[in-house]
Amino acid sequence: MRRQLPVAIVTNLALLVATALLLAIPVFAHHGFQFEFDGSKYIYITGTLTKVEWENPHIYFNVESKMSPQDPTVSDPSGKVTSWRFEGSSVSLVQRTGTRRADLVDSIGKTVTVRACPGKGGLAKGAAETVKVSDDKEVVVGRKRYYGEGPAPADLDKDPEN
Amino acid sequence: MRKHSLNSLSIVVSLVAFSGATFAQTYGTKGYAPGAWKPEELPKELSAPKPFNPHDLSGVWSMPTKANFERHSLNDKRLNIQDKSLPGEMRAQSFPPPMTAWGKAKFEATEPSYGPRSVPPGLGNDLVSTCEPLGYPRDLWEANLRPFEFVQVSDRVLQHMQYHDLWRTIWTDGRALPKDPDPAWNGYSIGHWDRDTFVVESTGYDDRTWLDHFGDPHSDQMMLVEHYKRLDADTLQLDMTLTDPKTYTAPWVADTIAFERVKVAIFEEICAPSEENRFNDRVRDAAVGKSKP
Repeated sequence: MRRQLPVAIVTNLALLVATALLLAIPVFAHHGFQFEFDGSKYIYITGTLTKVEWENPHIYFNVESKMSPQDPTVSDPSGKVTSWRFEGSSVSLVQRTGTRRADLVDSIGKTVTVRACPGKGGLAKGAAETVKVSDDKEVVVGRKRYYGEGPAPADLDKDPEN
Repeated sequence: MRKHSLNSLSIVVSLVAFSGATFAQTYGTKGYAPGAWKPEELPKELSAPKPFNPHDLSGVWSMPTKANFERHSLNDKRLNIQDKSLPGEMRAQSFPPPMTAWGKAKFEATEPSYGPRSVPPGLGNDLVSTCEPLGYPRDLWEANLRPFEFVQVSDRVLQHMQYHDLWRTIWTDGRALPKDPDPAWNGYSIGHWDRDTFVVESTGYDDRTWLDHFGDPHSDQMMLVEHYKRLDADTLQLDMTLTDPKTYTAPWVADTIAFERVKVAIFEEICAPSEENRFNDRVRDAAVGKSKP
């Protein structure tokens, strides 16, 4: 037992240090993508578009959805509606793909589906790549965020990559 | 046992400390996107392409992204780092010539968010976070995402950068560079043709700007010499040499760039302080625990 105690202490110490570092992870680059978002996976959030902020250095929009921030693959068990916050790219970079402000603003109050990399820590946010605003129209709102390995979604090739 | 535990500790700490991954690096600048105009609002017939003229620089030019690497300096390169967990922003760096004592002090005062010396932007001092002018040549490196255009008029060539909507005037009326100019964000530039090469000389740059997002400095004595040459209708080659004896002990010769002509318009991309400050409050400063006073 005596020999196991230091191991437990060291393990706990490791967890404490790790937690402290996790909270203090440097936010690199201009926008700290890696601090905020998990680029190794996608989430698909369906809900009502409620707000659009068409500005630099990133556009933002909100979607009210029953999807659970803790597990975005399912609805919240209690049926709770959460306001999700999504970040896109800068205005001109989004425009460069052919997406216009009106594509989003005209969809306020309507049901949309957002493809995004989720926010870390179970927060209701994401780095968005596309928004499906109707059955036959999907608009690009951000640079490719996904860097995960393994099979990517079949529609990934639609993204404006050079 | 102790050694094993410490190793475990260091692994856990390392995994957590560098638990990032690289950004997706590329974004499209090819193809035409109308932006403000809907397709049906544009002229139906495009003007016929002009015959290739090596003395005509006009057009919109973009810096192609090669192997997912966006260039951001005179000679930056992706580093051969095996540790996949290291943040993408630390995976590249520039390779300037040796610095003078003055240059080294200025370099060490910069706190960039890219390269081996990266710090969180909320703790750094890159003026890009406050909409300050990027200056030249730093604005040019944005051409991998935001193209620039050349506009030729009778006595000048205008270089119009999308990012920050920067207009650089290159005088072609035979004047020499000013002898003792007041510093200017975008310097003072003159140009002339040497056979099929457009040679641009410039100086008088305000030394508050950085050369790149790695924090490489320059002084107000910086002299740039650029050689632009159209290799064909769709390729514009640039060779650049930076001379700044106050900052560097030798000239800094840039890697050659081959810009690609793109059929897109220059879009408006103003850095509005109110928008940027909002972003600083919400993201950059919030990420490092800075609360708004």
